[in-house]
Amino acid sequence: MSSEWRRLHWSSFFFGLGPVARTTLPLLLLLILARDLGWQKWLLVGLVPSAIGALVRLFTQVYRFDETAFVLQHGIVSRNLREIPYARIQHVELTQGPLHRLMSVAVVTIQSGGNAEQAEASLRVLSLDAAEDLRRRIDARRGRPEAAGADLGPAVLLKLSPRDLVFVGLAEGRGFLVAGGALGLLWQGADLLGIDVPFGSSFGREELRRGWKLAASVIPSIGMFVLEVLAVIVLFRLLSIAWAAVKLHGFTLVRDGGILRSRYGLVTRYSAAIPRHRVQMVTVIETPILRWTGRAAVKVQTAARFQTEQGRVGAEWLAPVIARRKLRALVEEVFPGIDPDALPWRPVHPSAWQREWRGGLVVTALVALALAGPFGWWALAVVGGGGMWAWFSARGQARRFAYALTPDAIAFRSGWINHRLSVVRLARVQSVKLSESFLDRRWGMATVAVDTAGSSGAAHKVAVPYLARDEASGVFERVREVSGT
Amino acid sequence: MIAAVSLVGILITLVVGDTPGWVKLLLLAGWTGELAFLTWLSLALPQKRYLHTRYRVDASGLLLHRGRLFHSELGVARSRIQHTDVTQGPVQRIYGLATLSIYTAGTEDAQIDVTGIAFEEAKRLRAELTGQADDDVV
Repeated sequence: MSSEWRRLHWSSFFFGLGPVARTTLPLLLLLILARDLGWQKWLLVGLVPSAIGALVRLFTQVYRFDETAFVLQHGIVSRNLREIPYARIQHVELTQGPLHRLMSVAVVTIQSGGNAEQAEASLRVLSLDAAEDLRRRIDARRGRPEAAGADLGPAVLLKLSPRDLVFVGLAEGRGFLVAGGALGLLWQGADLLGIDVPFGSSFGREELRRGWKLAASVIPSIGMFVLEVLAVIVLFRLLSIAWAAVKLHGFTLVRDGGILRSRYGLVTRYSAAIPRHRVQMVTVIETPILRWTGRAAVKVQTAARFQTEQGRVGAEWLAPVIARRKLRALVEEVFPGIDPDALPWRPVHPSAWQREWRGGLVVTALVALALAGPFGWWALAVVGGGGMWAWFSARGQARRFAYALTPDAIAFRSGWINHRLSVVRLARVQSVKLSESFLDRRWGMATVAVDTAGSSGAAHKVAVPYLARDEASGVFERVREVSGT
Repeated sequence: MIAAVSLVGILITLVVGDTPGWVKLLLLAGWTGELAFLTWLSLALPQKRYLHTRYRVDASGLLLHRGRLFHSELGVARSRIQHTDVTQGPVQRIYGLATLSIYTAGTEDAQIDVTGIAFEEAKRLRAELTGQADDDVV
């Protein structure tokens, strides 16, 4: 039994033009400019098929729901029929830009397979009703017996208040993103006005020295300098808070059967569906600010790859911020039976800190060498300070490195300032790798890493460094054994 | 390739510009050394790689050991193999060799190549690794 073909929303003509324009506009521009060219302009004819192809696709795109698969078709002469089995669909996502919201339509992307570089299907655009209907149908049909928690009723798991978003902004430190753009504009403007900005476009040694002198004359005392640095830090954090307030406005996480749905955004609204049984890895992040205020952030990786371009990163948030005491319940939602506070942690090799320290010393030496030019003997101070900091940092880092093996999961934690903790269920491990570089061999150490679907772009992965060689072999064998069953 | 590019670069320096004679000599000597190193690398590296590559199929699946300086052991369970390729390039065909590529749903090691094995062995290995009921593991 196959249902009837459905068409896109009529405004697709308008919204679908985005991708079409990308191929046709350069062509048109070139054609206009190419009047003066001789025979070369005929080379441009080569671009015509791709432009026509995009237009044809836009006008002929239809879809339908078959018994076992979602079917898409486009084209007249060469017809493209794509079937995506419901069981393989990982992710259905609705995105609405400001214009989309005005017309109450949405772009629907469907992702399947662990290695799809791009979405398997992108419907641009459907009316909001049709989009919701599509999601409901797909969700209803891909439901499988193993879909854990399908029997659970709907519940709101998390709802962020504006106050929570302040903490997200503080913890995320995205102010650099905002400020970076502003600074770029500033330099450009100053260049145009003929103002000499130190540390500007050219970054030679002479400029560095001049800049230093300028700074020294402007800053009358160390106190002023500290104040200025503090002001910059506060400004960046304020910008970051603004970023969080806009980007994550009204964040809600809802459980709906076996699927978790998140919705957020002030200007551009995002809504993502995370099927619980597709979650590959859970990462708990605790930056100092979050830790001191008894909070944490949680990210998940699902089998579908998230596009990491700016503006789409949000789909992986399970909780941009959550009270620490509620963390256990949230992790339980996606990884039943795993308590992030009660994992059987095991430390790495006792000499790990020495290797971390040596790494830090090498970096310090390089920095000192680079600074020796403009600052002369002052660079020695960098060696002293940097060396001490490297020692301190290495001790902290090595203490923080640890892994935990439970009967059905492997966890890894790292970061002595920004705590990160990732858990992967062994049943989701695709392959396991033990690596031993020549340095590792000298110290009798090895790294054990597990590979999961859709972990590209993950900020933190389960890759345990500096394990004692024998222990590494043990972990490797254990994961290898269990992951295959 | 690298040698050719750097040779062009050096020749330009030699012809154009007013570089002193000893710099020219140094450049030439450096290039000869580079050429020797690259030749050694292209001849010895595949041999080294071959000598330090081992594989085994057991109850859990495939186990692949590679490298010496940067040694690694990779384990892939049978049930995690999505699909496989056995490919033969023109040179490999002359010697009856093949590459077995194993694809998982993973990210970093989504494609695992076992190179330089006999064509028949590649097919045998593939049969040994696959041929099980396919279930969804992602």
